[in-house]
Amino acid sequence: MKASQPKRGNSSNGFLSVESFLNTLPVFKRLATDELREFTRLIHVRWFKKGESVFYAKEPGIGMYFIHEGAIKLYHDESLNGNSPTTLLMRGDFFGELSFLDDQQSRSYTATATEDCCLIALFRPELIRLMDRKPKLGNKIMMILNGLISQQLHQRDEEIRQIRENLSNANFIL
Amino acid sequence: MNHAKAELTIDKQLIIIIASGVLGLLVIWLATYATLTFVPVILSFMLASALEPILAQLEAISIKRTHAIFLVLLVVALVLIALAILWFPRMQIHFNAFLNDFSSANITTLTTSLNRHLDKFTYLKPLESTFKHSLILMGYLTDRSVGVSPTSSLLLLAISFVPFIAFFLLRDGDNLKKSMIRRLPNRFVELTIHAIYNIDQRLREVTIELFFSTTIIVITTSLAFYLLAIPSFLAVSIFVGLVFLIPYFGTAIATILAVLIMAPISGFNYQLIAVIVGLSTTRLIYNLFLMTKIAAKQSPPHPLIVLFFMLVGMFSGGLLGLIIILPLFRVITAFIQPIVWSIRNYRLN
Repeated sequence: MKASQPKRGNSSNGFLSVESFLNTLPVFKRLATDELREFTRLIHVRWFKKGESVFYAKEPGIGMYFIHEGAIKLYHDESLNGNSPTTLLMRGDFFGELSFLDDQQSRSYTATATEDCCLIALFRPELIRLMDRKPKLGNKIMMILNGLISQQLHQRDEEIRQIRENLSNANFIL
Repeated sequence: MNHAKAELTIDKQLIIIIASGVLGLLVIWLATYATLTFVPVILSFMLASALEPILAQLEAISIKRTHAIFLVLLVVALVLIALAILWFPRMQIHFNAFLNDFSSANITTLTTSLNRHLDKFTYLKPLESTFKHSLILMGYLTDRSVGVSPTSSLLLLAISFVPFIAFFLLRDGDNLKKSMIRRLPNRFVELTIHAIYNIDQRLREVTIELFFSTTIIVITTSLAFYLLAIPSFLAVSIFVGLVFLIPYFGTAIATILAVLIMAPISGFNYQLIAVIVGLSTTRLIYNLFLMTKIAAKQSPPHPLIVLFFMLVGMFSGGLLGLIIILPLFRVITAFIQPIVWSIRNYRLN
């Protein structure tokens, strides 16, 4: 879920407009200005307070979120009272992409804001509508999102390879 | 919607019960006292939803949305105007004639006429009293239809709002949705978008199914009744054709209705047999070939629910109520079911 970190802009309080923020994400650089503007119309900007949950594990999901400001904690099991393994995501990262792409997939983790957050939400029905109305742009955005997920898969692959290597160096048999 | 269902807590059950109760009361109130407001709004939503794929196709070939909406609604308006000029006046005459012929006031005439026909068929004589009671019931239902239907000029005026409401729904619907969603608490955003999306899908499927099945059935029965020289064939085909679409019981009730309408007028002759055979054949063809193509991906309601709504429709709106209640029920479920599903599957705390 780690995307390449965006560079902070020059606005007085360091908070970029949504369009400028998306422009700082390398993946969206493939969109022309008018395409990015069209994409911006699809998204929703939401503010979350520290401790507020964006979604819960096992819920159906149709949205993916980019972190504009703040940090988000992802964890699997609430019953462990905070002892569940967590992933901390920061500005420029994204999450919720699996349920976004596959409507049969429910959320596999809970996402909670660890500080006040600004998230950019993209919902599947709205992307589908864009794909119907502007197939060229819709497909381009879909390809970008696929690219993001493919990057993640490569990252995971690399992590698994690394773990295997470490384990085999430590004389474990897999 | 194959996700594992979230646990249904007492809180959620309470929300569902209260929400369904409030919605139910609102719908009953609207249907009873505000038909002229309720019908155009529902029709506008249905029209907007059904036209959306056509607009998307036009937008995909680079026609601006506003132009596309204008173009599509212009075609719809022209069709409606053509129908209003060519079809409605004729249909109105047939309708009035039908409602007059089968009103309670005319039951004695109809019974006398029926008895005359029954005299020729001695083996049907034992059914005389059944026929008589059925005709009395039919008269009651016809009277109720006259009582609940608003005057046609007022209905036409109300329906003429439909293209305008649909225009604004189609043009500004996205912005309206977005501004509504902006005001919602975070926890309800995904739930609401999910529900809106599902409502849109369901409503489109139901509208397309109702439109095509009604058109096909009414055209087929009108043609058949016209060829068989049945008086007021336009009104008869609308009643018989639409009753025919009631799940489970449609064919049987449509056949009984056809017999009750035709027997006192033309007697028990080849026309009646032709209509019964024709209705059964149409049902068979409809079930085998058409239903699979146009049916919404929604199983029909349970027979008990169908029976309950038939009773509600019959005793509140007569024959008219009987043919309108089930499509209305399906449209309302297209709104309510996705909301209930979302409430059940998302955690609200």
